[in-house]
Amino acid sequence: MQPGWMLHSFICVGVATVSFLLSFKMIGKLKRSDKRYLTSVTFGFFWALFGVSYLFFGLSIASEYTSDSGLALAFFYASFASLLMMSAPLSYFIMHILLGDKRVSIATSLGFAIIGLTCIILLFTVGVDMASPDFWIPKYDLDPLLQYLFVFGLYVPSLSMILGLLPFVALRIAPKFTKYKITLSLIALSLVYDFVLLGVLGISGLSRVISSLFILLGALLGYAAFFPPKIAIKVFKLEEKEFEEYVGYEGDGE
Amino acid sequence: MTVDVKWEGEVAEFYRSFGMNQGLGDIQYRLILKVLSLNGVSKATNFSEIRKYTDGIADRGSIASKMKTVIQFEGLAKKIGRGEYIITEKGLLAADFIDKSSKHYKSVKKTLERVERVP
Repeated sequence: MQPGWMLHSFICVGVATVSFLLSFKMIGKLKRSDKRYLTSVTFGFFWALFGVSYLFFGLSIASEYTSDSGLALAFFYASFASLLMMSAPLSYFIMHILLGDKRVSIATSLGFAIIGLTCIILLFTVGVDMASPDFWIPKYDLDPLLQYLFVFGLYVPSLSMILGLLPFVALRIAPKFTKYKITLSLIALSLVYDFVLLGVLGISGLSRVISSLFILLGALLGYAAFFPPKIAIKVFKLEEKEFEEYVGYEGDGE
Repeated sequence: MTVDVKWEGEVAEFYRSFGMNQGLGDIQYRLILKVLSLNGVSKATNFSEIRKYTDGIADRGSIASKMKTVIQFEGLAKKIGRGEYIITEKGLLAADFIDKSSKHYKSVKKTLERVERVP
């Protein structure tokens, strides 16, 4: 039991709270009849799975803090299983924006779901080892095969897809708000995936808490991307101005 | 290779919406140059070949007039016999520009569709 564990646990619950909020708002954002409905819902599912993962991760750390190792391990399994599945809805979201073909998006999503399920089966087959805990985290060591599968089966393809959205940032013809949404989502997703990867690879100590803080920042940026605060609207001039048509005399104004 | 009349019409409509009623936004001009460029600078194109694509959108008279007042007048093609035309180097440049305008439209259309799909 270390005092730093509770702080880390709170950060994880914070990540989960922001993710759930974003998820609920994304799912309820559009009407069923809207053709962007599924894209919005899948993005919501991604954040929901991520939120579930971090909620269980926080609970896992908190359980270790209360010396309930059995419960902590169960929460850790639930957390990691949820994390392994989050690429499936994300792939639908990105592929649908890029290609607009439902069949391709569903096939990609299924591919990621299969890889995720394989990793989950492997997780429950090989289990995890309790490594030496430090001040900030009761560390679990994942099987190297599971780490490889996560990196090359989920992380690298997901990041490649995320980078597929990059050309949007440079588009001249896209509305400013769309560019803002995509840019911030890109940063948010990159932060989330990169620092989750560090966690999976087993960094520990203060670096792990800092990485969790960056994940929290990623979740907050993800929220701000689709539901921008007033300050962001003002700073990035996201409000589109409507100009009235001038119907008077056509002259040079003198 | 053939010419897709429906597609050329869609592209022409796109440029016409920018106020470009001639050239890029003119379906007749696009189709004539496309057909002439298919045969290149070494093979003559029959007027009937051009009409095969233009009959659905314009009458014979309009196409003949367009050939004379724009295509031949600007030196984009030469009349080398009765109902026989051959594209010039300048005409190939114009046809290449038409192709590029189609690619530009395709990319703009794709981008706008992507933008619309962002929730």
